[in-house]
Amino acid sequence: MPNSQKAIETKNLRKTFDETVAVDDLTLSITAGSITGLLGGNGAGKSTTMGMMLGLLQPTSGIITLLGHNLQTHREDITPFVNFSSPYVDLPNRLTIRQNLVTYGHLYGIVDLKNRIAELAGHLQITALLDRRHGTLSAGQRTRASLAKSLLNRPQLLLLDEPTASLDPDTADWVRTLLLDYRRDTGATIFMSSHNMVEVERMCDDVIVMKQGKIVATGTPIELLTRFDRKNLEEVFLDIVRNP
Amino acid sequence: MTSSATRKSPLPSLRRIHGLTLRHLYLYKESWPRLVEMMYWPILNIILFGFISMAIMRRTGHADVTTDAYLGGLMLAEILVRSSMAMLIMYMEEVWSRNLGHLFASPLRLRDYIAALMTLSTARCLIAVIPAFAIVYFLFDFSILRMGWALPLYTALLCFNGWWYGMLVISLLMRFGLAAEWLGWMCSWLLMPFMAPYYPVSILPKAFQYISWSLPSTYVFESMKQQMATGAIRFDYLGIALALNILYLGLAALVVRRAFAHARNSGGLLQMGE
Repeated sequence: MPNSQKAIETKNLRKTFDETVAVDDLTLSITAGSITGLLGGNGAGKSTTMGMMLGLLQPTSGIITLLGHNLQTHREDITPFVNFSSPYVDLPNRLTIRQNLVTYGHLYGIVDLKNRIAELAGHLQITALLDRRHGTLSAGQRTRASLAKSLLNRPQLLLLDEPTASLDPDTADWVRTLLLDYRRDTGATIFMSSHNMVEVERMCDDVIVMKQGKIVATGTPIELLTRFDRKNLEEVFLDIVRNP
Repeated sequence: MTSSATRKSPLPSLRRIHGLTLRHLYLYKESWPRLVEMMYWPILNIILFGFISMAIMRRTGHADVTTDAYLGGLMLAEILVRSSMAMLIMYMEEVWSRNLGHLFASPLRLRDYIAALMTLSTARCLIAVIPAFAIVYFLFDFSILRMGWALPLYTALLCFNGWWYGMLVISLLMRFGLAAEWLGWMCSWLLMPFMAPYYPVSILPKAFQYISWSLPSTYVFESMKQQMATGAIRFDYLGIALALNILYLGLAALVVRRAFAHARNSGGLLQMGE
């Protein structure tokens, strides 16, 4: 099991696409066991940052350390302990939830896979849906299926890209509770991007705000409210995004 | 770290190959049109070109030996095309389903993925061509088993050829994204005229002959043609085919690694999709 005080550390992380700078000199440190929210407007660099942390995007420069190991040189040591969910990266639509979980169970080397799937399905309330094709599921059901995949290997680090996007308030609340329970039960670190400020206030211990590829504010939700003298995070967010 | 996490092996992981194999088996189980499509084209090609060849042979009064060589070439060419095309189709399945991000954020390594594609392409190729071979037997009274124990050698060398060629086509897609999809399909047939499956290499223009003799499959087809004519197998040719296959597989591995690195750099693994 990885043993590090810091679940994520980046140092001078930079990513450019031709002339466009997507992430610029990003240095951050995420404490193990915390839930951190990554905020920013469209094009702020959140998804690029997540992509680099998942090893799906090669940084132009800088270092990413996950669970105490350099991602560039120790990817094979890290990936069994990390997982992610994103509404923008799909699971195969023709496969059932069970088939997708079996596939990924083998890729992650899950022991006692059958029981793990049954356990997760019960937990995520998708037991009755296990043999339904992913493509036939509603948005809420797809989110739960995607979460089942992301929790399959009991990740120590869970990266979530807008985990409640396109969900109704009831389902979104259910997902938040599930993630909080997962963190409480396992001590896992959750790093999530979100556009839902209420969600971030409720769930996150720390918040990082990005703008034009750079970190422009960090702190606990309360610290940010105090610093910007605002009543809620939405106002803080608008303050940061609208002001040059 | 747990011991399982730190045990690094330069070899592909059998467990992950198994996982990806299951993923594609499930896909075919859930989608019978894919299964039908897999067998449809080899059967159609063989019936169409089989009858054309029979008609020409009858008119020109060529010996049976020429017909056998032609039908043999037709069937072996299907093995090669289906093997390389299977690599491309299975890669495209991941692109179409926007699943590449999930796959490559998991412990799956590029070498696991390519090894899984090779395994699956061989299985897919055999499933595609065996019904076509049975049809040739009933329609044209020609059994591919007439090639005897050279048949597994020919099959293995042609599948091998399909692997590295499929890897090069996949590299093209990794490098240029979905814009190159149709180029990928075209490339699956690009080398076919140079491989001379239905005619002697000597019929090709001199410049084409140089290309032809640089391809492993040409040696397999030439050996088969000689076997059909004289009964003798050209082991020297099969040796050359094996050596060239190994050389090209090594080169294709380098190319696919570079293309994968480019896809990671450009965001292709995240953005490729329908």
